[in-house]
Formats: sequence, structure tokens, C-alpha cells
Amino acid sequence: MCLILFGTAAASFVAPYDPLTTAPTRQFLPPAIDHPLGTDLLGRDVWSRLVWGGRLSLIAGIIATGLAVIPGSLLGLLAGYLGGRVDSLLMRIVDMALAFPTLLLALTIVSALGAGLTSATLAVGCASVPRFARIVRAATLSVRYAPFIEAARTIGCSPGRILLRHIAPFVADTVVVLGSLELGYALLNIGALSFLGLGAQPPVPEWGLMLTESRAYLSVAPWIAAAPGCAITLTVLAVNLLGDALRDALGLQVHS
Amino acid sequence: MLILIARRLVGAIFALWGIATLVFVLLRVLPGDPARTILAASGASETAITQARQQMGLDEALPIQYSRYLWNLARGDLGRSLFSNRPVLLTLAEQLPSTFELAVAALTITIVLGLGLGVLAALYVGSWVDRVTVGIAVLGVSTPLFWSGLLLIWLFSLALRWLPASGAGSWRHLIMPATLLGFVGAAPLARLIRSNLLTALQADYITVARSKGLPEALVLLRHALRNALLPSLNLIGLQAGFLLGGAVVTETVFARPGLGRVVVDAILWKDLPVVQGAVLLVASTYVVINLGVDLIAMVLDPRQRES
Repeated sequence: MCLILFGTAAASFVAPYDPLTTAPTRQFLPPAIDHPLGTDLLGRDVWSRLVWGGRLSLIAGIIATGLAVIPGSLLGLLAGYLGGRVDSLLMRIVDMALAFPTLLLALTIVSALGAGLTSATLAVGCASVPRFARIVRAATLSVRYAPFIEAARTIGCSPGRILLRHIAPFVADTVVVLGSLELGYALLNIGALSFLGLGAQPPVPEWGLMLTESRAYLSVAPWIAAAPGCAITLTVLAVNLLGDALRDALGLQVHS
Repeated sequence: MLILIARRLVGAIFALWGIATLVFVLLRVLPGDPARTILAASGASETAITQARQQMGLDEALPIQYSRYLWNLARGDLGRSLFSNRPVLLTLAEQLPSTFELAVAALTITIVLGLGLGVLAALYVGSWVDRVTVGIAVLGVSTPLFWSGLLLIWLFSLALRWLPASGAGSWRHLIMPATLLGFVGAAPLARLIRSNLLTALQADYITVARSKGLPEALVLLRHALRNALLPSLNLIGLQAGFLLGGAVVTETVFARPGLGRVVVDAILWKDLPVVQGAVLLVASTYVVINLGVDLIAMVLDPRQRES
């Protein structure tokens, strides 16, 4: 995990070539010393594209996760704490959105915004907001009526203070664990949208898009597909294991 | 019981209405001016845009548009494609069988594999079966469909030449996509059945059944499995949603015709009526499947009638 983060953060040092420079004479070179993962149709260095693509994919994934976690948690906290009409109204809307399979909801949002990496990121993030709102609301409800909340209210704490100081810390564990698992989903879904041609557009190096581009040349140059494919799997695996480890460390029973 | 079923039915109708509304908001209200979005890309003139707006009924107030939209949906009228001018319903009906075939085959594989692996893992906790199952489950949720799909094509079509890489038509075309989709769906199911079965096997009634001298197979089949499987039914309903989303990706990987291809192409072409129709169809299928699963669970499992 650290290795992936570090490698992609230092992309300009790790990558020996420019990911966009084409070299028509050097197309479909198999992996060798000067091109560790070979070259693609346009003679671009696959390793360099992989590293730069990883940077892009991770940034997009993190933004999407933030877009899902922050509004989702706030809505969940509010709904769980306020209860009553606000709660039932919010949860009705959440139920509507949950009636959609997540990827389908993301597809619909992309079609409203137009294809592109930015809208794919937005779409994947927004599509997960309802799920977060639901779970955080449940977590909030579980501490909502605890004696110490009652005590805080009796000594005159404002609702905002109670929410942030007394309830939020209890919900935070759940949010951290689910957030790290969410990063895995976000990476997969953004990759899927790019693979479908609805996310990143050529010539941008992005893992999902690199796989689409490699598809037609699978028999001539399988290494072009292998690099981004293994990269996505390893990254998501690392993120998921991190999430599982966090869950065990915090002693939580979370069903996602 | 009847009241519960009725309440669940009303809930499903509300969910359908919610889906319709959400799609309306996302595809009509959010883009601002769909006529401009669609036509501006092809360099149409201002007058053409105004004309199209009138034709699509976009110059009217949103509430009027919304009520007409709902009325059309209720009559089963999904409008016409902006490009081919064919009724959307017809296009969808043509593509449905292919996706249906894939989904049914994949769901069968999900249930058989999930059940088999889950039960095996629970019976032999800590053994290699258990560890392999958990390992596959973790790997399954981490590997994107579009990558494992390409791997399958590379192995079975290009290297071994056993199966056709793309297209549809025969059962040989179906093997790879269905196995792939079913396999990925099976992982969470196996995990859930494993943990449910482990809990069930520790219950008092199992000890009673065993102490009565019942053979272990009967204890497992009649007492433990029955109680462990019913809660998994709901997960199968949820997995159907994953399947429907995954079908979009799978159809693209294997170049299979189907609803998924229709949606993706329509989004790329900005053919909003087709996107709208396909999204509505898939989302309502999901609602209906979950309604069915809940009703079956209610009939079979007394515990679920209470909540």
C-alpha cells in the first residue's frame, strides 16, 4: 500500500518516459530493459503510463470517496440526531436512491453530466452517498439515547456541540472503516466507467482506459493489458486488506 | 401476514415512483437544457435547438413535464430514440433476452457456488477449503470484472482456443461471461452462508437434534441449513443488483449484445430517451426481484414476519 502511494506520488521520478510521448517506430515492444513493461500501440512506455495512471486513478478514487463519505456522514448524523420529520424525509430520499444498483446510478449521473474523468469521479462519489447516510444514521441512533448524551444535554450543551463532540467520535470508527472499503469500490467503479468509455478520455493514462485500449491487441501484446489489470487488483486488494485490518483493530462488526 | 405483504407491495410501488422521479431529476432537471446538450455537440443552429426543445416538450414548466412523464410511463410509453426514431420500448425488448440469459445463468452459478463453498467452508472451519473460500472471496471483490474478463478471453480464447472471445448466440458464448459474473457474485454469498451456518450449528436446537441421535447429515440438512439459508435469501436479492450493474461491464468486455451495451452507447450518443428507458427498466427489475425475494422469505421464515 505504502509502496503504491509512494510510487505514484513520485511519478515524475519513477517513470522514465513521458506517458504521452508517442514513438511510432517502437510500437508493441515486449518488456525489456529500457521498457520494463514494454510499449503500446503508439510506442508509449507502459510502465510510465502505469505510474502516471496510478496517480490519476488514486486521486480520482480518493476524491470520490471524500464525496461519498463527507456528505453521507453529515446527512446520517443529522437524520439520526434530529429524528422526526427531517429523518423520515431524508431516509425516504435515501431509500429512493438505494433502489438503484450503485453502478447504474453512477451511469445515470454520468449521462447527465457527460462522459469524462471528472464526471465519473463525481458520479461514483454521489452514488455512494445514500449508503453512507444509512449506515452513519444507524450508528448515530445507537448512541443517540445513551445516558452521556442525555447528561450533555442537561448541562446545556448546544446540539451542534453534542453532535460534534459527543456523537461524532463514536461514529468515526464506522466511518473510517467503511471509508477505506469505499476507496476500493470507488477505484473499481471509476475504472469500470473508464473501461466503458465514460470516464477518462484518451490519451490520458488511466488504468481502466488502458485496459480498453489493450483489448484489441490482446493476442499481439498481452503485456499492455496485464500491467494496468494487475495494478488495479493489487491496489484494491491492498485497500481492502487495510480496511479489514482497521475493522479488526477497532473491533467493529460492520456489514457493508 | 396479509397486511405485511400489502405493506411491502405499497413500499415497492413507492420505490418504483421514487426511481421514476430520481431519473426525471437526473436526466431532465440536472442537465438544464437537454435539447442544447444533445444538439450543440453536432453544431446545430439556435433555431434547430428551439425547435427540438418544442418537439421534446421542454419549453413547458417542469411540473407539467413531470406529470406528462409519469403519465407516459404509466401507459408504458418510453418515447422514441433521438437517433433512430424507433420506440425505445422496442429497442429494449429486442435486447432483453440476451441480458436475461446472462443474468439467469450468472445467478444460477452464484447460488450453486455460493451455497456449495459456504457450506463446505462452515463444515470444515479452518481447513484448506475454508481458507481457499475466504481467499477467493477477498480476491473476488478486489478484481475488476473488466480485468478478469480480459484474462479469461486471453486464456480460453487466445491461448487455448476453446471458447469464442466475443459475441452471443450459442451456449459456448455464454460460458465465460456467465461464469465470470456468477463467480464474483458468489464470493459474498459464500461468506454470509458460512457465518450463518456457523452460528446455526452452535444453537441449542442443534445440540438437541444431535443428542436425539439423528444422523449428522439430517441435523445439517433439516435443522442447521434451513435456519442458515433463509437470511441469505435477502442477500441474493441484493446480489441481483450487483449482477445487473456487472452485466453492463461484462457485456462490454465480451462484446455481447444486451441492455448494458444499449445504455453505454446511448450515454455516449446522448440519446436521453434510451438512457432513461433502459435505466428505468433495469432499476424496476431490481425492485421487483427484491420484492419477490422478500415475499418468499416472509412465507418461508416466520422470523421475518415480525419486523
